[in-house]
Amino acid sequence: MRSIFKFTVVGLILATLLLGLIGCGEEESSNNNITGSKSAYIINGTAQTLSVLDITKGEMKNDVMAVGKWPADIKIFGDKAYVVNTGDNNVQIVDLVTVKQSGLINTGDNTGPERIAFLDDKKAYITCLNTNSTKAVDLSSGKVTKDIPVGVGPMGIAVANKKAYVCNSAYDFINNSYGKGTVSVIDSSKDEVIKTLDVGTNPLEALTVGSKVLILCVGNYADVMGKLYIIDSSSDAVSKAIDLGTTPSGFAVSPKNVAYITTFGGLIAVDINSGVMIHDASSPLKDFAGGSGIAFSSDGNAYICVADWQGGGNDKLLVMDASEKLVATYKASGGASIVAVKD
Amino acid sequence: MKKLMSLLIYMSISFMLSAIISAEESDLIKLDDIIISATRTQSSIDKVSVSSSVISEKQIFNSSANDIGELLGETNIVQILDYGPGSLASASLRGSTSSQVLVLIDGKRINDSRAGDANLDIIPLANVKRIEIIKGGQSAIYGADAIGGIINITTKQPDRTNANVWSNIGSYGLRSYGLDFSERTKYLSGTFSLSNTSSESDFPFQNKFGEVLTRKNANYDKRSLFAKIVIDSFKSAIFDLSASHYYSDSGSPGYIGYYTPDASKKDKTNDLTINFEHEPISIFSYKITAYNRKTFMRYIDPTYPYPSDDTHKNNIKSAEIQTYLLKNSKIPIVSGMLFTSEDVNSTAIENRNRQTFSIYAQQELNKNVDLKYLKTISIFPAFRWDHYSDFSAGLSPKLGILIHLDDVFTLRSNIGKSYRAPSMNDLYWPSSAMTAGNPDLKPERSTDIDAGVQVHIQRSPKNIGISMIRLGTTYFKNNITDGIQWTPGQGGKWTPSNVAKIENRGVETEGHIQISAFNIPNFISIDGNYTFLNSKNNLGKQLMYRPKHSVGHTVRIGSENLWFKASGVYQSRRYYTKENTKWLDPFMKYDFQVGMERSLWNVTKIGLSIELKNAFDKQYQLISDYPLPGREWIFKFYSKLAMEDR
Repeated sequence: MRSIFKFTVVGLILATLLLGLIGCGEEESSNNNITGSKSAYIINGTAQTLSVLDITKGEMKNDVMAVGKWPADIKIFGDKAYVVNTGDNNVQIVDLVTVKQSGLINTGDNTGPERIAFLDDKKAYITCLNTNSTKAVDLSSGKVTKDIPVGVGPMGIAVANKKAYVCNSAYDFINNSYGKGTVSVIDSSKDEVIKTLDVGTNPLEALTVGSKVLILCVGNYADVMGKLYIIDSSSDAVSKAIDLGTTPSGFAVSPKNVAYITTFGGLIAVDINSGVMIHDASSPLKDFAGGSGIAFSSDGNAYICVADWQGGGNDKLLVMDASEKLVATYKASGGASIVAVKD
Repeated sequence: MKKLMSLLIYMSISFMLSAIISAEESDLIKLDDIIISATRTQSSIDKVSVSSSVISEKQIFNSSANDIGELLGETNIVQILDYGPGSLASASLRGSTSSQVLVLIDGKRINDSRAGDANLDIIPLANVKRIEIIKGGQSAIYGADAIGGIINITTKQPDRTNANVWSNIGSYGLRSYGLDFSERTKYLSGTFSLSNTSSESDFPFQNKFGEVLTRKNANYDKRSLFAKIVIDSFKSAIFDLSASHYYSDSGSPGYIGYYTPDASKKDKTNDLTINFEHEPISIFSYKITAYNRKTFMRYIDPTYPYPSDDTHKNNIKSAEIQTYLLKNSKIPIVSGMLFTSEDVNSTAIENRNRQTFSIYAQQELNKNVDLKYLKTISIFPAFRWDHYSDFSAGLSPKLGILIHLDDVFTLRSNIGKSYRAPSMNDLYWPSSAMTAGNPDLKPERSTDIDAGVQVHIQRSPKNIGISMIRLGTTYFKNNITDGIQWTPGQGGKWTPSNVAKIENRGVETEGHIQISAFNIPNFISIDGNYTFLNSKNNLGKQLMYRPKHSVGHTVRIGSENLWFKASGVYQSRRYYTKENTKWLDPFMKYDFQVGMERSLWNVTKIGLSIELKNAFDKQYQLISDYPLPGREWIFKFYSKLAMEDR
């Protein structure tokens, strides 16, 4: 009896060890590469993945592919998406048919790439925070062709009228403060800065609407609030500066030329033709509070990322229709914060 | 699966070798050893309720590791989170964070109260006699930060007259040497050791574009001095005084992609300790300990655009009195009180002070039952109450039980509550536009329970045969609430709060087999351990950098004069995103070592060992984007001079 007990216990311990060893085999993950003709592509910052919403079917696929460390931007150009990974010093080129990486642009060690903008199908510009420069990239070879010095802390970039407009955030890391925010204007024929415009504190994002370039200044996260600047690309001068009265996060422009700006309190909106606030910081669209990245589809629907930075797993992609109503909510992955739409 | 097969094949070969070839004491973990940390008094490792391991003086001496982190990384007893040579290396036990493991030197805590964790890379081995590792919550005995367990490092004692000198030469410019000397007389004894280790650590690694580069600025230079004087001329009393100095200057290479070629880190530690132990009557003794520990750390990185120059100084003063009542009885009681004052002077959090007052008590209740299948029962109730000047800690209770069914089977179980103190960084990080500390933080709380069985079979084979088998397995579960986590609040300002919930549970299995041959009871020693860890965050996902499966094993064959050792460590996939979307691949690393020793004139022994670390040149990382060296050769020469005590 005693021997049976002894052997049973010894056997159980050895079995635990053996089962553990067998369990050492890892399951391989597989990507479900499903993308529709009309899709939203979401960057999940903390999960470091790409999620895909098939807009037609209303189906969200999370963590479809891995992106790099500290993803900061996604832009769609043609049938490819370009994901800028600050921590990996690269830009992943993603084939939107297979949703797999099809190429990689290396911006170089310690460059800290932040945003990308396209001149045409041959050339793109990538802002590099750590080198205070913007890299001109040949899209056919994926190689950097020129390093163009700009201002301090380059972040957002937009292309209009064959010129690239680079937001210089002027963040002073040592003193934890912001210098004078500027926009460097790069002539794409020479790849040189031809003009520098003064804007507000901490310009972080830029986008193009026709011949206008919109610059979103975030402020200093304390006593200086955000501002929206509108630059006329024909004269390279600031035509409007609109006080936002709050700290903005991201922005996008609807087909009706209304800029929707995400904030902690909700979505605010500015008519970019008149410069009039449609929803100001005191009466934001609260259904979309805490949003960050935002993008519009051609039908006027907005796709808004709301990341759960508390890490509770409540990361969402919200859909707002043209009448500014919340029409759908999709669960996203950790740190869903940047979105781009292809339709 | 391929990794599993290679592991099984390797272990099979190890066992076959043992059968074909079928050391004095085991060079490995001596399970019969004495342990101090479990009860604060000397106990047999078989007579404590906690799950514990001991790394012996001999194993430490034979190892070519340069610091505690490297040594512990060669086993699977502790999981080491290593940023590379000369950089931070910290420990995790049972899925804990490194701030939830309390590291002690001779019972003195060395966790940095500013950052919370202990950097094992800057603890030299030259003055270390043994290392005790206790898994599971221990706040009832040791107070804050002992959620995952404790690592107690014991320094050398002048317990015999001897002198050792040694030198290591290895790959990537490794050069080290050291000596220690002990003199023991009837009334006065002393020990002294020094060591110096330097390395270029310019090993090759592969970056994310597949290019093979050379790691730069991972060099280090470490020096240590240690001295201890023991006076035992008093009647029933011992007085000892020890002092240590440590200095290191290391590069800080940064991670793959963001290199910091000119960053450097300097660490300096000075420590002075006085102990007085008195036994006025046979059933009662007391010990008074006082120490002052000063640490200095400066990190300089001129790399644009994130240059930094930070200096952190800590000055810790502590006094403790511990009593030991009813010694040598079946119901001994250990109790004590201590006061600690810590001054932090930091460029990050400015000048801060923390004072702690604690009282603790632990009793052993031993009962001989002497039934056929129930021999003894021991119960270990314990509590500790801590009062901190800057937050509320309160009471930490614990209850352990140990049942010897007979000479072979032992059952163990423990239940208790532990906590981790909020670090001073968490509490006092200066408020800026983007970050702010939270002075209202509470400690992280944990409730842990474990239960295990151990089998110990001892035999005396006539010729070749198994002389000892010891197998043990333990189930553990640890729930952590009020976990401190930095998250962005309103306006995007990052601040810490008590929001995290974590559950760690799993099974630890370990085995030790000794095979006798040529009249040497442990001519072959085989040690193996396996840990299954299910460590869940509030998303229900595995915690970052916690392998679900990890295996460690060592086979040592030979005598004192000629021996061979093979060891391996396996870790399964380790996720480095909270959502488990990205991971480090599993790895298995093998080390081989051959050593020989010869006696000269009966008083001197000279030895040589050759170690091949990471023998199959495995490219692996323990922290994402911080590469570790591939294959390394290390040659060790030593001489031991032993004389009779005067």
